[in-house]
Amino acid sequence: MTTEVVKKKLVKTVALVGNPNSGKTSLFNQLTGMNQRTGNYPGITVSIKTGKITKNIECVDLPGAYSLHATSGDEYILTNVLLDPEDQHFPDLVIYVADVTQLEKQFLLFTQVRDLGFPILLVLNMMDLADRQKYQLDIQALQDRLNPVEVIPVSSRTGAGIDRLKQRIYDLSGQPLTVQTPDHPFFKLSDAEQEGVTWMHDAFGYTNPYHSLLCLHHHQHLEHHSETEKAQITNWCQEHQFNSLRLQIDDTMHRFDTFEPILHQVKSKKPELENASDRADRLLTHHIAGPIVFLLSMVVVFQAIFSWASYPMEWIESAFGYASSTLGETLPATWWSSLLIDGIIPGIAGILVFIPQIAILFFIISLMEESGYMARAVFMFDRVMQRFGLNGRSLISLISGGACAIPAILSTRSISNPKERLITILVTPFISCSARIPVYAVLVAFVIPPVTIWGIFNAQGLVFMGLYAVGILVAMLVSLLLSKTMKSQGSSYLMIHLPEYKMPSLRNVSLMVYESVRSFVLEAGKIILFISLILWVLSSYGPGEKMRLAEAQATEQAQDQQLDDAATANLIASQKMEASYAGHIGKWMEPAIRPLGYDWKIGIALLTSFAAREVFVGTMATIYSLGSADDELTIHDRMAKEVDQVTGKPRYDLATALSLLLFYVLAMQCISTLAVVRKETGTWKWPVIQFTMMTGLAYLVALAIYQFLS
Amino acid sequence: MLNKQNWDRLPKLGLRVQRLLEDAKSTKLMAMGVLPGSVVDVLRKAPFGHVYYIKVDGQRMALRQDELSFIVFE
Repeated sequence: MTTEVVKKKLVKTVALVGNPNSGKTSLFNQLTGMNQRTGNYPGITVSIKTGKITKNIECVDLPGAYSLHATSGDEYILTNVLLDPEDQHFPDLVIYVADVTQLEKQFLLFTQVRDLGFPILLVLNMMDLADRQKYQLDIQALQDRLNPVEVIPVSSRTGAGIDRLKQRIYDLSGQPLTVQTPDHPFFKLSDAEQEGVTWMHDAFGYTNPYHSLLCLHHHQHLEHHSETEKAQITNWCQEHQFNSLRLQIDDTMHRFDTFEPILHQVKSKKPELENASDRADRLLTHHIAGPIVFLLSMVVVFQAIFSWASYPMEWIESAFGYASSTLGETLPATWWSSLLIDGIIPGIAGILVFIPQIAILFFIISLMEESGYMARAVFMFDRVMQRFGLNGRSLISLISGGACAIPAILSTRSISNPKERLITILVTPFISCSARIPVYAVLVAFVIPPVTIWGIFNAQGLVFMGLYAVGILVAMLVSLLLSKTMKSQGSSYLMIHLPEYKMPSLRNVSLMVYESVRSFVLEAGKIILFISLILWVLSSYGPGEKMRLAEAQATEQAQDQQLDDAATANLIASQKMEASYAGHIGKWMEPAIRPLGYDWKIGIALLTSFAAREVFVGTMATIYSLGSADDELTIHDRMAKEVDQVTGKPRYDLATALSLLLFYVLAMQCISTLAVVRKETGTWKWPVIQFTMMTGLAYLVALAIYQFLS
Repeated sequence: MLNKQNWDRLPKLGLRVQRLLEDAKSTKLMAMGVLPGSVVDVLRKAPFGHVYYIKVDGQRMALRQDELSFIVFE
């Protein structure tokens, strides 16, 4: 206990506070470099980043907000942290980050934080842009008016002024820092407010009047008040007819009235001219050209994730494949070498193979965020997305989902409304990702031959497009349904600033890519590896002596038929697969999947597809003892010869193939995605609901299609 | 309650804010800098409607139609 108290005093917490888009996060990156980690705030999905400036100075990047009179979930985090001295992020020193090109908008929150009495450094960010705009600001005059608050001009993009800021942080951290109510506050209490503040002082012992006032207004959302205390405050407010909404507006107005004259005195007015951002927006947000430019750039994004990533992905796969086969030749054939070669190595490969896609997507998304274009895309598509219960930002995630659901789900972090973000996470995996393509490629030939329709369209290509369309349609319908049924937490806002366009900073872009890749590998990777190992156990072991019997039988059979070595190995693998636990589960599943037109062999493929959908092709190759899955055509030929033992007709007819295809479009068969959903929502509840919803729907649709066609 | 205004003919330049209706959304609008006395230019409508590209005292922002309707202009 005592050590904890000592530690608390030694380690000073410095918090970055400011509006969204004030450059808070890039300043945080400048201050902490690589020494940062992201933690989720309990119960809320917006994450808080912490990092170290020195060993004894911890830096917290608190969520951006415009006012302590919070209106949405992520804004309440800030109010909660600043009003609760017991909170782990409660700052000893506040660094208030203000974008100097929009100073008026940034001062409301500044005056509120100031009135709470925190020791505060006012950082004027983006001085480089201000210089370019020939913006005149008398920093010394501002400093004099705000005394004792210290004003430090920096540019988090170029790094100018950062050293001076760091020096001031070191200096101040060496001194005792206390919260002190300022002598000249930016507010004036009305009679009703004074009465409330006095009562709060008597009831809870609060000494800072603005702290008391904020607790009165927002007690329902403050976690440090118990339910009894909340009821007590609510009662008082009702008895005294405390008109919270009106008083909040008055407080805001009074603050603007107080600080606007100060800013007018220190700032020279710049002429209102149409600048480069305005000219760019004439095209980029134009009601016809805007969406076209956006969709074209999305095609490039999709292409990038889809094709550029395929090279590094192949390198990763072949490197691990080479490691597996080399080890297979050198190591003795025991259980542990099999665990290594067939379990652990493919498991790790299955994690690392996603890195190129995640890195490329986040590279492009951070370019869009940093340049200011993302806000324009949100502006253009918010209405369409809203109709389906989503947010303008959901569009980016849905489009990215066409490459891979994992980076797409990570990208939903920019959606601030928790409900809209959750729905986006839940429906994104319906969009056909690149892993489904090999499965579609094998099965589509059973649905339609490769003929040309109306002279130009490839029939199989049309079916492909149809499968994508089904995925998109279902995603939109399900989000509509979810938005009607789910409870809303707080109302939905758009209200976003459209910042000046600017050149992205390489430092911020690379940090964002690094951070997203690292968190995927460390957090989702653990779960993926664990489940890959379970699947390895299921397919390498069988009940009792059955595995050994199967191997002996297969060897005998191969000798009878005088098969060569490779064919013998393939036959053994196929027979062992049937005798394994996975084979038993496949047979046990058969009654359940029979109505969909599947047999136990497809059952095994469905089970192993759970590791990743593209495993379907490999499993089919093993079951039909083809050895390798290199050639999709070979698998197709072999599958075409397969006969249904009950009906005597071809196993893969139109009905079965279409039913299986729709199953793969709709079912949740990706542990990696489930692991990421678990990580992003903080609970197993949502991945379980998502799995049940998607797989249940897939089952029903596949059932209906098969029964209708056969 | 909501303030019906016709936004069919755009752009509308130099509108002056008289006051904001009493609502939680107004608090947020004010926090973003929409204040009595602010000069508002409504420049264009989003491609699918219902969202507006506006400038408040020279600062660009996007507001939904219902958010805009909490602002009473002179």
